[in-house]
Amino acid sequence: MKLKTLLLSAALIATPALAWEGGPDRDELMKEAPNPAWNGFVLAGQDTTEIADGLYAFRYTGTRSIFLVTDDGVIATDPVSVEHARRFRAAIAEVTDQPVKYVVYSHEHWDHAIGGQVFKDEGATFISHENCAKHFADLPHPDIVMPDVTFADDYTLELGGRSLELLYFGPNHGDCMVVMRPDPGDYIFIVDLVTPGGAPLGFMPDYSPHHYVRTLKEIEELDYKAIIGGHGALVAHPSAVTERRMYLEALMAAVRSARETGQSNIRETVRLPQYEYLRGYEDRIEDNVRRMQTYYGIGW
Amino acid sequence: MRTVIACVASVVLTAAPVAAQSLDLFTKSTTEVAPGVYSYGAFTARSLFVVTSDGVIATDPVSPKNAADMRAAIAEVTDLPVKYVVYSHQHWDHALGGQIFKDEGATFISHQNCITHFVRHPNDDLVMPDRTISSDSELTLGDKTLKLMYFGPNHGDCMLVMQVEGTDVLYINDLVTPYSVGLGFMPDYDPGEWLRTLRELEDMDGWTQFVGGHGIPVAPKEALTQRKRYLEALMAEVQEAIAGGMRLEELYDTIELDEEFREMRGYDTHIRRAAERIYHYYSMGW
Repeated sequence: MKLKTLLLSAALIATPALAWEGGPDRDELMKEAPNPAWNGFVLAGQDTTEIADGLYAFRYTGTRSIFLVTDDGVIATDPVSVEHARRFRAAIAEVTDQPVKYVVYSHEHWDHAIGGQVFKDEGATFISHENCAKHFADLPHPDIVMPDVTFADDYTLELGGRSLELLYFGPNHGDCMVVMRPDPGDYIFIVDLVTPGGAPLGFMPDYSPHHYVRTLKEIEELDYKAIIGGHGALVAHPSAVTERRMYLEALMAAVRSARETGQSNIRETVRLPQYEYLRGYEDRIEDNVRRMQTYYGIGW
Repeated sequence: MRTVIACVASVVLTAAPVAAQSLDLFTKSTTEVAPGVYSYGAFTARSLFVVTSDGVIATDPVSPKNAADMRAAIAEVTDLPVKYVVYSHQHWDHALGGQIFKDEGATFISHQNCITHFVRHPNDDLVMPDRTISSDSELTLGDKTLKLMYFGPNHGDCMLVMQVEGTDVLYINDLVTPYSVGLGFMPDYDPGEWLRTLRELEDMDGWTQFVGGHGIPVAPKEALTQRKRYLEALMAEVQEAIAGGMRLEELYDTIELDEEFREMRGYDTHIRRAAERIYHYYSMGW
């Protein structure tokens, strides 16, 4: 796999366009879990990185989108916010004069879906899983552009001889999440389902835990070499998916077993010391436990 | 109001003011809230059953143990068989345990959206519905008709509110637990739709009291208004904090509502988590 680092050229021409993000070296990020390098990501400012030929990641503060440049235009992903989208559009213009022809939503949550108007204004077609459209209609947001094209299962978007595969695994984090696989298929773009080296958000909004585990197992079966994360490390070894899946399985087993043995005070007593190294573990484990108590208690 | 004590003979429930009622969490009892309409359960979980001239309509079985106790409580009131079981919604802490009613031939009914959840999250103790409804419906058995009202997504997306025609009592599961703030993390709630539903219920004529899925046997309509006002106050407070640029951590540490809400049961335990839940609602639409 070849990752271009254009830090030197960027410094020479004094424009802030293309640089390998100021985080750890790519070789460090590509080591297997547990990998402390995954905690070294940058949150300040923004950056654009060419990850493979024509495949770029754009990050502004803590959230990342990818875009794919083709001879017939650009495929962009999550606009994230009005400000993110404005900067994202400018960053794309640093790389190519091609128009943005498509915007693909990873899922329905506002912290990824807001802000697409700047792309709509230039005529982009918006694409999402059909279940996202239901959420957008159910809870409208003035800064969300409704999808023009929806699909019910996997979907392949083709443009200028390139393609972006949208892989749908059913309900997991919400029920319209897609994992994206650009052509060529060395990378997959994963939003929220995996944050390399981190514990999941305590309250796990909108997650269906056993479908989440199932989805991660199915992703582990895919053929690819690295993930690009919607949050956290720019790229990571596929074992980041396995690490998250094993954490969830350990969490669910521990809570289930504590419930079955009638243990009291589960929230304070169930802990996973083998995963203390995960970023955010201390802050999140109690809420993670509480979430699984709810799951086993009321099926939510 | 007539009260039938099913389990513990020493407990006597009366129509005393709320403050005077026992907060014993686990003692189950049967309370007739309208002719032939009974509130059954304990503070921890409560259901409705309706005795008609042709048999019984039961609701949420809750768990195998609770369903067995409820079946015995029904037998204290009537020898008629249970012909129907209606699920208020899909959550396991209300829907499990129906097999004892299935065994005597009861037909199970729920909103159709519950099916998706039951299929996605199978549970050995859950009886699948035999019939589903997709909008407001009526279930008539013998001399009584049970109205099944659907308000769209709110707490989950298959919640039914019920009322025996000709009575002034609603069965409202989980959308209101009388005089309580409810669970802070608000599982499966869509806060905006929840508030809409509470407003629609408040505006609905023809009822003055309700049986909740938890808590006291029967509560006045004003308890629903209180929950609605609490939710409005909470959402306004969080929205204002977000507009002022407050971070979640700060909101979590400083959230405080007016005294009338601080007196609601569970406030101290749940208010911070409730604020966090609403913060996420306004920041990511969930």
